[in-house]
Order: sequence, then C-alpha cells, then structure tokens
Amino acid sequence: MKHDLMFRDEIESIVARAYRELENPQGPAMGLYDPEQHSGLPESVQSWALWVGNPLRHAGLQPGETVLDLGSGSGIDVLVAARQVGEAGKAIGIDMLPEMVERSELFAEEAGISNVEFILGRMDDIPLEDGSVDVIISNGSINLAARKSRVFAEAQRVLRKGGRFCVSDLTIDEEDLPTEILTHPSAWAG
Amino acid sequence: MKRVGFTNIEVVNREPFGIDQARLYPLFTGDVIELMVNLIPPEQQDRIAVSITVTADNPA
Repeated sequence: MKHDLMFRDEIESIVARAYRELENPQGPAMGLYDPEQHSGLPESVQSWALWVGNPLRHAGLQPGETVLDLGSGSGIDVLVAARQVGEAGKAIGIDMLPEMVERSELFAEEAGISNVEFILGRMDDIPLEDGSVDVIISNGSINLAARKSRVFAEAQRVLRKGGRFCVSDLTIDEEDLPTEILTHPSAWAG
Repeated sequence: MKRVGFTNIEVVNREPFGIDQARLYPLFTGDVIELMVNLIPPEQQDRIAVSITVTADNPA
C-alpha cells in the first residue's frame, strides 16, 4: 500500500494522459462481445470498445437491478448493462476523466438509452451510498488504479449485501516479462 | 478481494493476451510494442498477459 500511495499521482497522470490522447481507437475489443450484446449500438459507440473481456457474460444481470461499472470509459458496458436490466433497472458508470463521462453521455443519447447515469469520480472513492447497487462490473480498468486494495474496499462498501461483483482485467506474471517492459509507462496505461 | 469481505471468489474465464492484440490498443505505444517484440522470446509473444474474468459475492 505504501508503494501504491507513493506513486499514485504519477500513475494517474500517465493513465489520464494516455486516455485523453485517444482519438479513434477502432474498437479493438468488439470481438469480445456477443452479437446480441452490441446489436443496435451505433458504430461510433462500438469504435470505442477498448476492453479486455466480457464481464457481462458472467454477471447474470436481472431486470430491475442497479449495476455499477468501475472505470466505465466510453460507457459501452454501461449501455449493454442498461439494456439487460431494462427500464425498471439502472446502469451507472464512474470514470475519473470528464472527457470520458461526456463521451458516454453522448453515446447513450445516440443509442437512445436513458436508464443510465455517468458519474465523474474515482474508483477508490466512489460517490455512492453504502449498499446502493446490486451488481458491480469492471472491464480492464482496475488494473489502471494505483490503489487497487482501496478500489475493492469501495466496491464492497457500495454493493448491497448479497450483491455480485464481476470483473474482467489483465494480469501478468512478472517473472515472465523483462524489467524494461515492467517499468515502462505503458505497463500501467495499457 | 477476500480481505475486504468478498466470498465465492472464482476465476470464470481465462484467455491469453498477446502482442498482436496489444497492437490494437492505442494505449500500448509503438515503443513498448517494439520493446516487447525485441525482448520477449517469440514463443511467449502470444501470451504476454492473461485476460481473466473473476466473479465474487458480497455476503448477505
């Protein structure tokens, strides 16, 4: 934890800069989604699929549930989740970059999906009440957080008792990668 | 996750993630891709990381 705190600002700066500089990522992760998940989403939305897995395939969302996506980025998983929980439910995305929150709101409007909310905030300090969501998902974002233990603690706090957590992310075996790569900024921002 | 109270923690999916996939992500810059190609043995380049999906419960 001490190590994480020492470098938190530097790590967040690297991650924020990398995401802010993105222009047209060409949807490298769309192949990870099931066709019925992205069916009907505008191409402009799909081009921003930058995820590493498909947590929604395993989250077992039910109509009426409230879902929270940690590090929601451009918001695609939030939109897919919103369709799964239906109008009686709600999907919330939280991201630390205003650019991503604005893009998510635009994409939701383009997709015609209204049961969503996008919050500017941090995964390690979630601005939601205790026990206020039924399901938490995340896709390729927690690996970018400087204080991962704090993210898990916050997730547990806002999740209701009996709630579910489902996350896709990248992990590495540090012994398999050379030091030059492990210490490169992209090792955080990627 | 276990330390903060999650239970039934389970890895439900595991997929290798290689350099060719990393190339598709703008966040992996050209210089780090080049570094990986040069420093990682060819037989490991299709699994530089693992994409995992983990599920867990918050106890009732």
